[in-house]
Amino acid sequence: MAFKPSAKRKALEENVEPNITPIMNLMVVLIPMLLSVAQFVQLSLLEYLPPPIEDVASEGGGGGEGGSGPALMDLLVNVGDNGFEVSLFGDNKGENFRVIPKLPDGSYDFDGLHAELVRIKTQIVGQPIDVQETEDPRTGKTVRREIFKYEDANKMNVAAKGDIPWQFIVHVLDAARDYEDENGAKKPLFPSPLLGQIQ
Amino acid sequence: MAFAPSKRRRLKVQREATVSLNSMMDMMTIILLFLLKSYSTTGALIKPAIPNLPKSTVQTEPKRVLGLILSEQGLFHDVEGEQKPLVTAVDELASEEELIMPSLEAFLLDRQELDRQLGKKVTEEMTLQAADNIPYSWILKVVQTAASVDFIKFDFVVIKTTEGA
Repeated sequence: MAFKPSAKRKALEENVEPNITPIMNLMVVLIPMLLSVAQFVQLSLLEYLPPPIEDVASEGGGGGEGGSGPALMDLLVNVGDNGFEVSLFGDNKGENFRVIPKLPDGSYDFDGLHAELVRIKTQIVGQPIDVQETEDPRTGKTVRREIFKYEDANKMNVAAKGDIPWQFIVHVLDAARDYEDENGAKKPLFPSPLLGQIQ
Repeated sequence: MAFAPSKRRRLKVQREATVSLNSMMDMMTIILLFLLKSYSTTGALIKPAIPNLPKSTVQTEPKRVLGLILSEQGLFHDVEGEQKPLVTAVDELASEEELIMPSLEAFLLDRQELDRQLGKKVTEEMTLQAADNIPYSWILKVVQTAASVDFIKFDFVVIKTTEGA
C-alpha cells in the first residue's frame, strides 16, 4: 500500500558507537609505562672532585703573596655556630677575615655569604691574566682554563662541624658556584670546593 | 477484547544500558599528554630512593654509575628492587675513631676487582643519594674512604630548585 511521503515508514538511523577498544588497549599499556619513567621531581647532580692525595700532601701553607711558592689565596669558609667566617691568606683577623653572622631568625645568611664571595672574586681575584687549553689528567678531556694571579683562584675550602646537616653544606656550595656580572652573564665563582671538617 | 487504557497490557521494552566511554577517553588522553610531556630518560636511570634529598640550584643531569644511598639507617647499595643491600651500618658511620670505614672499603675494592675480572674500566666514580638531614661527617667519611681506593669523582644527587636557599 503506498503511503503519502509524510506517513511513509522511515528507517530509523542507527546509532553506531565507534569501537574504541583498541584505543583503550593502547592507553592501558602506554600510561603505566610512562608512569614508571615519569619524573615528578627533577633531579640533578652536584659534582665533587676531591684533590688527588699527592696534591694534598705537597700543599704546605703557601698562602699569601710573600711566600717562596706561587701565590695562593687560601680561601676558607668556616660554617660556625654563629655564622660564616670567611678567611683569605690564612688570616683570622683584619681585612682578610670577615664574619657573616646569622640572620635575626637564627638561620645562616647565604645571601650575605654569596655577596662576600662575589666581592672576593671581583675585587681580590680580579680578571684572568691568561687563558690556557689543557688536558684534564683524570677525565682526559681538553678544558679551557683561565689563569688568575692566584693559583687557587677557583678553589674554596669549606670547613664545618661534623654534626651540621648536609643540606647546609649544599647551600654553601650553591652560594659559591656562580654569580651574575653587571651584564647579567653567569660566571663561575668558586666552583672547586674542598670539603673539610672542623675538629 | 478491548481493555480500558489503564488496563491495557503494556509491552515493556528491554533495553541494554550502554556505558559511555567518552569521559574516560577524555581523561586518558589528558593523562597521556601530561605523561608524555614529563617523559624523561634520566628518570629511568635514577629514581629518588629516599624522599628527603637536599635541594640545590645545580643543573647537571643525572647519569648512572655505582649508586649508593646514605640515609639515617645506614649506607646502602642502590640496586633495582625493594631490598637494598646494607654496605655500612650506622655505628660505623657515626664512629669518630676511624676516618676510613673498612666495610665500605671492602665493598668498593670488591667492585673494582669485579670490573677487572670482567675486563671493564675500573669504577672510579660514584653517585651518592644522601638525605638532607644526615651529619656532614658521614659524607666526609664516605668520600675519604672511597678516595683512599682511588675513587676520583662523586656525584651527589639533589633535587633541582630555583635560586635561593
